[in-house]
Amino acid sequence: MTRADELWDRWDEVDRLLDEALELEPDRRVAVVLERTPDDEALRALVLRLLERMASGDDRLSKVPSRLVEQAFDKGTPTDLAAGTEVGRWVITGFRGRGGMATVYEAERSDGVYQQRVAIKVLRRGLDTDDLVGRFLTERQILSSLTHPSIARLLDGGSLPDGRPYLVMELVEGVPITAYADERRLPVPERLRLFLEVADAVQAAHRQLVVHRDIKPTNVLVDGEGRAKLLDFGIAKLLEGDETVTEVGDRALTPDYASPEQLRGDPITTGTDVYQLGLMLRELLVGLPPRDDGTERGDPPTKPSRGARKTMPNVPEPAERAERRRTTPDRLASRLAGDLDLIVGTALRQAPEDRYQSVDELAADVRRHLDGLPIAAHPESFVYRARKFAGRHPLVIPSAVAALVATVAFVSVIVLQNRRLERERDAAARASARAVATQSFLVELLRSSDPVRSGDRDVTVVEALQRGRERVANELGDQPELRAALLEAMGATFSGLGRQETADTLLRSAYELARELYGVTSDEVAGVLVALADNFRQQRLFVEAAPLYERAYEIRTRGGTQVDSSVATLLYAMGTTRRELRQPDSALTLSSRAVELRRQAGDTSSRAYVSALSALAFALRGVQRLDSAEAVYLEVLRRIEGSQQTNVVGHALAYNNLAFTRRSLGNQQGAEEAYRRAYDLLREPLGEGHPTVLLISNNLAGTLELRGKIDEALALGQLRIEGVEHEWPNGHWRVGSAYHSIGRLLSRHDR
Amino acid sequence: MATEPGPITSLLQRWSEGDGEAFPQLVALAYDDLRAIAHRRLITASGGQTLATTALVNEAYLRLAGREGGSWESRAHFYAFASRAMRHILVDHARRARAEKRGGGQDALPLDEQLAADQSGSVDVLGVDDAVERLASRHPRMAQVVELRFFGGLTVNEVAEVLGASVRTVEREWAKAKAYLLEALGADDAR
Repeated sequence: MTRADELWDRWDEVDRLLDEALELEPDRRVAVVLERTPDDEALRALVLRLLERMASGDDRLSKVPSRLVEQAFDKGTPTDLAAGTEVGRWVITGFRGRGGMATVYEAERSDGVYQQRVAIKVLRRGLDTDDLVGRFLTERQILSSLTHPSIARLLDGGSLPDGRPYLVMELVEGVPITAYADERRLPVPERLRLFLEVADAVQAAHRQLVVHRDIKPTNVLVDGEGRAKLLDFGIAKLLEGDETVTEVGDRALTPDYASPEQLRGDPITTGTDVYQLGLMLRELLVGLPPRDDGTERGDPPTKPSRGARKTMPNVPEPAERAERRRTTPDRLASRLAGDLDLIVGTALRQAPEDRYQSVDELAADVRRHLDGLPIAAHPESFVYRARKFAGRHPLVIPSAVAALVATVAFVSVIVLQNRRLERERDAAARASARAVATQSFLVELLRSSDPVRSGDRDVTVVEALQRGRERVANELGDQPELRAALLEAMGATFSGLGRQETADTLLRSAYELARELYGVTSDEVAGVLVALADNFRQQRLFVEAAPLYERAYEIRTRGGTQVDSSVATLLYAMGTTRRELRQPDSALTLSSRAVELRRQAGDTSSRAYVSALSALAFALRGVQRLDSAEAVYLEVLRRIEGSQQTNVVGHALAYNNLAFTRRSLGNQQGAEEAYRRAYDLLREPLGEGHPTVLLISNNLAGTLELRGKIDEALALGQLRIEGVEHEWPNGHWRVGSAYHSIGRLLSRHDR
Repeated sequence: MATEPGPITSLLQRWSEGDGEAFPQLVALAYDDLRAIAHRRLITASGGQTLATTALVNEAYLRLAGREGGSWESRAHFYAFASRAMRHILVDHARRARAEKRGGGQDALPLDEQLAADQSGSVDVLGVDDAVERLASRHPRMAQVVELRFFGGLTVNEVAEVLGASVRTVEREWAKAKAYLLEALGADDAR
């Protein structure tokens, strides 16, 4: 009996004695407890311990740690629309990000009319107060009035069943403009051209009387083709009309990028956007963050040419910043001195009326500078204009470039047409060729390091797979079909090795690729969905797994109810998921159907049949038919042991589950025997630190403890500690868990 | 204002009279408030500012009172309810977090792995919840003291008001309850 059991079993006696002691002065309490418990050592020890706990001032329970509260309300619920949720004509496929008031998801069309990926912005739950809903609807109204190639388009909108509004937007796959420019090491002129795209978009908004007010690099994304897109009109303002759209307390601006008038709370004009564009332009040109440049508010802003040589904490060195512009600090400084200092300086003037009077004027000056023409912001002088005109060069290159582009485009069209024909004609042949290629690639990769066969640890398999992952990334760019299949196969393998995060990444890539190649309702996509769901199931994230299985099931059974082994496998997975979600009745129905389907197909000697039987047993346990469950587990073991195939893990798990059922039936001896078989089967091939081995070892230790075999339970605990320390990094929760369980065992038995 | 009681007020009334069906409806109505408050506090939190259940529950009550008007009676009911709701929310989250931690289980593995939840600076919320449940079957009021004091973050005086008990009684029961819970959690011995 554990101490906790003792406490609850004898609570009335304990509480009475504790009260009696507490009535007395502290120094007489121990005496009365001793007096009342002459022959009851257990009660005495318990009450004395409680008195000590009361005196010790242990304040662990004084309140819920705020970290837990934060997690429960924040990290615990990162999204409220799971993948697979339908939103109007769209179906959610993933989570993209979260801002102050909205959560952004990725989605695609659910009706399959055509393929389109979009971003869906949903007001966060709990924030759907009238004023925020109003603000959200304003954004919708603003966006619907804006159509510009450099502004993320509004496609659709509506309300969720719970009344929260959502916006469907063009999905922009890109990186912030400054990161893009640095990654590509764009020199100054290219940075200016990129900037001009943004300025044009802002000007287009101004023509519709919309001021963005929150222009900053993270709101300007550049896609893989180098096109800039302006996002997030969440705090934009209509210059006339609805004047109720003003600041909303804590979220109306981004302090570092705010203009002086925003900080002062003065009226907002198009000059605000001019200022923010100026900050972004300086950041693009010299890599200085907007306000961390040491100048006090009100000081003249740092000129780009000076910023080029400036050293600052948390900002790369001037040499490195210049490197990213393919130049040196000195050359960059002299490149920026003059025109660009003036342009940025004019945009960043304190008073809006002293800045460029419109974004058009700002953009025009940047264009003039690029063309080698005198800029408007410059005080004109004869020498200046003369130098400009002398520097102009005739441009002959563009026509050659245009010809090249046309050729490439023609070739692409032909290739695409051929691909499509080929795809339609040889779909089946290609699928099987793909399977062969996938298999041989993986076999080649894994041949030398099968953990069960060669006795190597799975670490080497992981290493081999990591190498394979690189090869897939580097070598298969021109074979997307093979790439998709390999990503899926490798994802499933990582998943099986307990590397769930890596698996998730690979499978999500496989999903993207399969969807692009074959369409949302293709069998390929269904296959990846199942693998993703399996990976969730491995992490015991059943709520996440269930909708993916169901979507895959719908795809697979579209053309009527064919008896197909993949459907039986799905039913099996859906059954176990339902079982884990504590829906034992539907779990039993689904699992029985899976077994039945296999029997009808005459498929009773395969491993899949054994798995289906295991799921059935698991479901039977859920409805408390423990005797039937035990019988089915024994049948499972007979089939495993009578077959030629060796699936050590499945074999061990069957014993583990038999043991657990026996434990529930009160048969501790039988449980111990079965746990032991499971443990002996797995510890050699997988190692003591493998999650499944840890689990079985822990289960076995629990049963040993129940049967009074404390020393053996302790020895197992010691092995677990060695195993996890070998296998998992220091500080991993498994390491703590292993120590904790042996600690509890020791304290329960006063060792 | 002598008007019709708002929906939350009348549900609180039903719940306090033992209508079990009122609880989920109340959670549905109040959850958004609690979350909105928590989110705003998280967004605006700076530096060492932390999120306490006390602040959540109090602010949620102020909102309710502002919307529906409120007598002391409904305030007491609300605190009792909000403490229960916080308990549910924290326990749900802890279950989910535990499920996420159990990576690597295969197929139909049973849930009988002993799991360590006690880390420094942390509390085994599931263990507390379980122990409070057991305590409730033996001494319901002592369990309610824990719910209000620990999960709801109420002061001893507020707990006394909500339960209509003396401050001295609440202090005594809270002290005993903490010792029972620590014992049940198998917390490190005080000896």
